[in-house]
Amino acid sequence: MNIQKKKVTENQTFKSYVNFESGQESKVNTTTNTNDTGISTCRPSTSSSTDENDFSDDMYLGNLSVILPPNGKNREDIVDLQPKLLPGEAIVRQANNVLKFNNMSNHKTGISGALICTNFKLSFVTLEDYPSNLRLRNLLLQENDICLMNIESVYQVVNGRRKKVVSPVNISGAVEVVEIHCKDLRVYTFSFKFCSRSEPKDLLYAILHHHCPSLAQLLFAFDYCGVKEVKSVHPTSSKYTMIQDWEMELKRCGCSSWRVSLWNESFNVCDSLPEAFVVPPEIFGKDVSKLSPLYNGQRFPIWSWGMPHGNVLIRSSAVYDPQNLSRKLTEAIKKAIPQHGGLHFLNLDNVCPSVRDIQSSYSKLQEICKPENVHSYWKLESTYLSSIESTHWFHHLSACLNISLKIAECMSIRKDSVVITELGGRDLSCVISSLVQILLDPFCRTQHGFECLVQKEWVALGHPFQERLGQIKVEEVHQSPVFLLFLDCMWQILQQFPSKFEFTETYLTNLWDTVHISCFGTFLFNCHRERINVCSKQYDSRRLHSSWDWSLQFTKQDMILFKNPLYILSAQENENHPRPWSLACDGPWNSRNRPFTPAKKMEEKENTLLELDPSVTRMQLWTQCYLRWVPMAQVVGGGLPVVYLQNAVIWDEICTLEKLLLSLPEPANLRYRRVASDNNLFRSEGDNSCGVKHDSHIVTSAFPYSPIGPFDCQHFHRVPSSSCLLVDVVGTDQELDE
Amino acid sequence: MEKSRSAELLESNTASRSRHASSDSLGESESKSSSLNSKLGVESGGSRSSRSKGSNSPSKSLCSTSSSASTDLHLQVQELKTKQKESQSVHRGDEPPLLPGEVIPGNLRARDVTYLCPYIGPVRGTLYVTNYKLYFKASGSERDSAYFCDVPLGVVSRIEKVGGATSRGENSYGIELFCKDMRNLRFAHKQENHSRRDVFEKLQQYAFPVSNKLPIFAFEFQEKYPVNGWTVYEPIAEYKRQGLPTESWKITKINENYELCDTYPAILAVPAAATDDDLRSVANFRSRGRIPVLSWIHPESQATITRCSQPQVGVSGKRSKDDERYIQMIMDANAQSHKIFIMDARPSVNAVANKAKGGGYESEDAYQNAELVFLDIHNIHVMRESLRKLKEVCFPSIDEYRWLSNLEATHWLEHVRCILAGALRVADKVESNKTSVVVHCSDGWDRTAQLTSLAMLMLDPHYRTIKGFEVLIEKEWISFGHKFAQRIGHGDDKHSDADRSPVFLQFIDCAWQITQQFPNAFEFNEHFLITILDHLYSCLFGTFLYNTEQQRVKEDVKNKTVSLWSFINSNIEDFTNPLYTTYRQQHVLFPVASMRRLQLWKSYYCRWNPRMRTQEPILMRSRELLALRDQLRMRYEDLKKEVEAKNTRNIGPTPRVSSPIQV
Repeated sequence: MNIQKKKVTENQTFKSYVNFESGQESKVNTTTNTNDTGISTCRPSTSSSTDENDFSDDMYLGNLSVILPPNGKNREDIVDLQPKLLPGEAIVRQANNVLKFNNMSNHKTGISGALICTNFKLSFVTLEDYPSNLRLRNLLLQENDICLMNIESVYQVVNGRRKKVVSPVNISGAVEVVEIHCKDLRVYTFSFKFCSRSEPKDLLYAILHHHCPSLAQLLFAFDYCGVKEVKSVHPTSSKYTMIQDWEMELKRCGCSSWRVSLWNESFNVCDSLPEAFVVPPEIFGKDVSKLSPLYNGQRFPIWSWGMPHGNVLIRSSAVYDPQNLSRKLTEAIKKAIPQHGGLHFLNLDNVCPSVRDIQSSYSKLQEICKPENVHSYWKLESTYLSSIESTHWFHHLSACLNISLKIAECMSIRKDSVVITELGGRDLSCVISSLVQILLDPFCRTQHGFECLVQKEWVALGHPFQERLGQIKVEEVHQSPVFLLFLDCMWQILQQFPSKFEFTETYLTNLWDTVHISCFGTFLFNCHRERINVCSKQYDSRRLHSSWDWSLQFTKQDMILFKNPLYILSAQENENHPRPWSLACDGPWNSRNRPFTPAKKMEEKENTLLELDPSVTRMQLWTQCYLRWVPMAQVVGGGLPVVYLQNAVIWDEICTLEKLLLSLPEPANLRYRRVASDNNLFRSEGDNSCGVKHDSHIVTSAFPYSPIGPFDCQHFHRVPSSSCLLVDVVGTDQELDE
Repeated sequence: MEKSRSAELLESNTASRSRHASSDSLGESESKSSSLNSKLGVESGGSRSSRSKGSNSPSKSLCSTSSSASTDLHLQVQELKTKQKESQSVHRGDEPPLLPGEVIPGNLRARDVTYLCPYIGPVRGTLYVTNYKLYFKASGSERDSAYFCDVPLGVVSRIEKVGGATSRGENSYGIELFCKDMRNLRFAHKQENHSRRDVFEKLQQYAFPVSNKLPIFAFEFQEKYPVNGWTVYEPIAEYKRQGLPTESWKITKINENYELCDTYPAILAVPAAATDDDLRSVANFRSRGRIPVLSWIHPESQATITRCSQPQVGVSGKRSKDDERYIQMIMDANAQSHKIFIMDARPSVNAVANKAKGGGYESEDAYQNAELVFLDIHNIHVMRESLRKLKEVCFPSIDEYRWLSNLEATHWLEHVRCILAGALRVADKVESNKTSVVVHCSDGWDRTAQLTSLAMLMLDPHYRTIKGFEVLIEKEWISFGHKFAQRIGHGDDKHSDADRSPVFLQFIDCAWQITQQFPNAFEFNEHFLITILDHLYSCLFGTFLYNTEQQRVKEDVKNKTVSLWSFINSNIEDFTNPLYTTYRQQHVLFPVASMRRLQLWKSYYCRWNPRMRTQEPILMRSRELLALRDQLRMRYEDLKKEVEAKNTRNIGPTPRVSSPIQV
């Protein structure tokens, strides 16, 4: 390894964290050189992961320039400000001596470092010691890295006023302060005051050019997969694109009379459907070709899910000519479902929010959850509730949940079948269809099952992710966070049924974040056809990484945060379920290797319906997802994560007890056979990135995320408290010994 | 199972109020009934046993709580609870279960009365009025017969007749009760039965005993509890716990006969440097003689929270050298800081206005080293109005579409936020700046009590235990003369009395908000707080009766009535938070006083609405998880013993067993 090192004069903390709150009482602007001595130990950790350095050699030449000390009083140090690079990642532009402001400090405090734009991310690298409280670390992105795909908009701040920068033409004058707004609601503010002249503009050009390419092929996923070998086994081995996948699903649901049609081979019938889909047994290939032109986008009505009684859920796009509605198809469906069960048609366009509604609602919600500064945060206080109401986000959630509940009741109580129709059949259909299955099918409430569900209803059946999420340059009118609406609905259900799901809200939040990471192919296209087309042009389609391969993003330790300790109780209720502790034991990281097991047939039990309350009054703001970067809104040492962690500790103890029970010699353990294996889940922690105070993990309501903000400085020493929640310190040992 | 029922109930409200729809919900339910709410429950074996288990807990029938996570709990927890006793309450047929000391005066029962439930529609049955409660038992069809409704008369604030002799139409003639606990009840009588007059008279009499020169029921209540709640708070012991007396603070009995200040307790803690004459002089300058006295002292920094009433500055801007010196003494008692904060709970406008009435605030010129801060908390009238609006929004039905903006318009949460923010400032000054704080409002018994008690709750983990919280209430509220009788209007028929105000309710709400933000920092659960509020009104216990300690001593409340804490501490498990962690407890809590983190306490304010119930309370699940762990622990211990016993018999040692547990 011969990483070229350049002599860089380290620009000491010229403005370290000033405790601005106490500033009123004590002196303001005390300049501190906190890390005079700590530099050698806390260099940027380019070497913490070995495989990265192998390839960063060649692409790391000459990108660093000498940083000029702004106030000349600093010592010389040999340091290199390098971002951690992924395979296939290359540096595009770099600006040194950039100040990263703390948003909530009114641009008074900041840390200095280099801002580097690569083909994957915008990375801020600093040598300074900054307070960090991020518990969940992404292996692909450092704390101060922004994936380019995550960038929603770039603003230039001139004289305290924000101006959106869409193209290089918009840049006015010298670039001093830039705000980067992210899709995950983070806001970064950088100052280029101390940069050399051309650097900031070049960097800004690079960001504007790369964050939203015009072609999907230009996204980083294609560079990434080329270098690093893609594992052949995906956690969700079933992608619902092949005939076997659907056959397995039919079998699992007990709908074996239905038939998988392959008539859409090479997508000659419908663009947005996969090549294989399920149709009533009496419908044959020629019928499909004949009837599909009647439907919007040629989307032939397809079976999406069924119950053991034979009643089914069918998704369809709008019919062009309702008069001419194919009687043959309706009859075929009627023949395939139980005699006594009714068949209902439900037009989602009439009862659900439209794609546009969702977008406008969400953009208002974003405004509320992304306060510009402390002042605007508090200014909103007195009208906060009505502001939330006026976004109508809760109304939309409630509407979707309500419809889903109605359909679920209809299917489970009356044993009826339902056809949901929607103009395009690719947006709200995905939401409603998925939610119905969540409400009825316990399999979908496991992590694996949920991933299968998303893969099936969203990815395979063609939700236009690319358009909706603006991953490449598309017209803004198409953008809409329909998928987020679904995840939020999921979260609301999770709140009402805390023990029914194998996964946690952290999992859902991460799923939403993952959608904005351009390393994976799963959520990158509008439909399967596009995926095939784009990939087959130059690349091998199988080589795109799957989002479900969580091990690419998180360590085993961190993936435990996806697991809901209370799920153990649901498993208790239902003996047919997989035991969650055994799941925990073979671990989420192993689920990748777990074969898709359709053997778990849906239970014949009636009582699987989650009877949620979909009323608006029950909707809450998903604070972990929307408010996690706002420090003022965080409870230090409290919030829901405290409950989670406490339950996790008990869960851990239960696992340990299971193990102990098993370890008892014969014949005693015969009386108690349960699998348990090593699961000192919450015992160890091993991440040691530099620049981060590691003794400072404090549980906040934003756990395992955490904003850096005023409270860090203010409360760190004062609230030692939550150390009892440090996941690596579990106070159960002694208790058990007693 | 239980869930389906609540959902059906829910359906029946919205979709149709037909008898048929609701009747589905009447069926077999048992566990749900207890959570449904005790007053409108379903009588069956299960519900009865949960209603009163053990001789010492007429829990359900006397406290009108709903949403009791504890009683809802079944599953393993109950398996482990081996001490489930059978119900002992006497119960014959449709007769209401009576508490010891409870009677049905005049053996009054009105048959053929219809309870007009806003959620499930009309229910027909028999109405009883006892000297403690109103009891309605459904008769009619089989399905309805499971309903009962049980309301302590103490919660009734107003009784009105509805309809007259000329009333036509079904259910238009009857009685309406307006309650202090966020609901109204309507009963329709049949005109031809002439039952209304008797019921109305008896209700008037026993709901407002004070106005009718009758004893409050607390003096008739004969229940005996194993624990005596009156001993929970001993002032000297509490001051000792705080480390008093110290070099600079002493405990004084100057007010032993309530002569210095008739609304203060007998025992006070004051700066050691202050002589009795000083105290008398200060008392002359402070409104109603409520001098600054110690509420809490920081165990390490010695920074203190003291409470008092406003200084009698008046329009002329009077000063008192002694008062200024006294404040200086309080400051000097804390060596860590050369400053003192005077937190005036009022908005500055109100403080200025008070000058006209002879009150006012400390001027920073007169009080050197003192910084005066106004906390902008509004007065009792504003709060009363806010709660009135809140009741309109929450009961009986909720406008879903405008729920949040309606809620905002009540300003209730805004007031809660303001109080929390004020208490947070007090706590922050004491904890972070090591500076002493003097808190007052006008009289120092409403907002002052809210601020000091909440700040103490944030600062001192002791007050977050069940007994500690009881002490906190006894000390800061009851002994320091929060005028419970006036603010609640116990047994009094003047429902529109301007002295009534939900100040204490607001404090409990703030405490609840903190428990929501720190779910593992409190030993007690939500049920505990709701129970306290229920008995704030019920007049079953003597705890909240009267305005001052002096009056309580005069009426011999401690000997003639039962303490609420007797009941609670005898059933402590029901009130325990499963998540409470004692190990390495968080020392200081700084809650977030922001709308983003405040919620409406739906399980209190909206509890009568069956729709508003949580599907699957997370705390209940946590408790189940704990129960599961305990079960496994027990099983493990048992098996280990079994194996060991076997081994000793066989003398074949198994190394694995004897080895210490590895975790």
